Amino acid sequence: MSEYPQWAAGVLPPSNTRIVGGKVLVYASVDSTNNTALRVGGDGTIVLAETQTAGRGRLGRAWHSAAGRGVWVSVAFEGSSVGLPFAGALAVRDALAPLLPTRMKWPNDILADGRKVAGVLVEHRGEVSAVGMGVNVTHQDTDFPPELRGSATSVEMVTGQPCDRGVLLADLLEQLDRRVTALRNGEYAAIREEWADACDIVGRRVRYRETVATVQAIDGIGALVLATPEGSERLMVSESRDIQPLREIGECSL
Amino acid sequence: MDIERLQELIRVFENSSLWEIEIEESGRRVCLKKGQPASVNTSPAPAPSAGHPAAVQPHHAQPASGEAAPETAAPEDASEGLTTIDSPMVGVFYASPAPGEPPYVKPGDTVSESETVCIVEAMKLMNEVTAKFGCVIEKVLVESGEPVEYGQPMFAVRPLE
Repeated sequence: MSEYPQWAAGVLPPSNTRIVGGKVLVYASVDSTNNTALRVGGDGTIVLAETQTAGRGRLGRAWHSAAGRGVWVSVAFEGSSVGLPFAGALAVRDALAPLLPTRMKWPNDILADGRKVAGVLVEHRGEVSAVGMGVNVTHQDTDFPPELRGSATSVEMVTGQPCDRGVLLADLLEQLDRRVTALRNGEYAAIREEWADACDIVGRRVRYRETVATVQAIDGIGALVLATPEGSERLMVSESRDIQPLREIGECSL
Repeated sequence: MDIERLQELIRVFENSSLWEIEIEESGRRVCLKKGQPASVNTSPAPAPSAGHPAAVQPHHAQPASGEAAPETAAPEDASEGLTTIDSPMVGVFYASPAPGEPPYVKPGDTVSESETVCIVEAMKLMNEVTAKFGCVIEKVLVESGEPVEYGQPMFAVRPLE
């Protein structure tokens, strides 16, 4: 049985936000904070849970949300979903910046020590978008299921220092609010560019299907433009049924 | 339009949130689309003829980049009474919520207004596409996992009476 996340009581609703936090819903456990945010709606509604029973990443893949170990939060936004994946990824990166060095992995996973420490998933249904952010905070290796050990990490595993989840949550929400406010002020191009720079992948060689490709550019919507032996290819997801995961070549992996 | 202006236009377009831009100037038309990598088409503009305005492609309203606009229906195909549910964005089409799970819809299914028929993903923006009206799915036009362009028909459907 999960506990109610008392640790968040002091930082909710956030005090320094314009959009985020109009309504705050806090649960001991939900199926998925994104699902709840999409169902409840409301511009800026925050949904926080101590654990998710069906937290997910792309294509319904499970996102392991250990009770009491992370920050699992979604924010609902009404209207356009343009740029929200970039805003979410940059918000997580910036909130983690004071705590530990991270690297953004295209399109929007956050890595520390080469392992996933946080992820962002944006879902859109009807007129509502949900920006879901999951950060592994106080896990030790054994808190992850065996299949994730070696590929997942947490803030405390990297830093060796205790991390206050309340402070991190407040930073996440403030950073997201700042980015979404900027999007609504017409700064899509600047945010896309900052996100693309953070991905640090242009010019790198990657394995794509069974060949080696060079990333030529990140285009206007954030897709990778790959130069392959067969010509130019455009990649909008990191994998799909016909696109195998790109594997590591040198220092670059997808 | 000289080459320098065209290059400038391409640069601005690449950094914008627009999917498509079409400019007609001095009898020449320039159309830039992000549906394909840096596709550029130029062609003489059709001359307006008496009784008809200048030819206008039946464009849907253009959403900004990544915009998860409600899907739109193409004009009805009078010969079959079918219409289509089109992709609201450039992305990858998924017929089911997760690999191995049943598709949201299959041919013969009757779906109601606002019912989810598929997901289109781009850059981890998972956009649930819903039916804008009650209809019967006649044919799925895209394989799950295939890329789709903005406005590309994904389902042939027969609207309910």
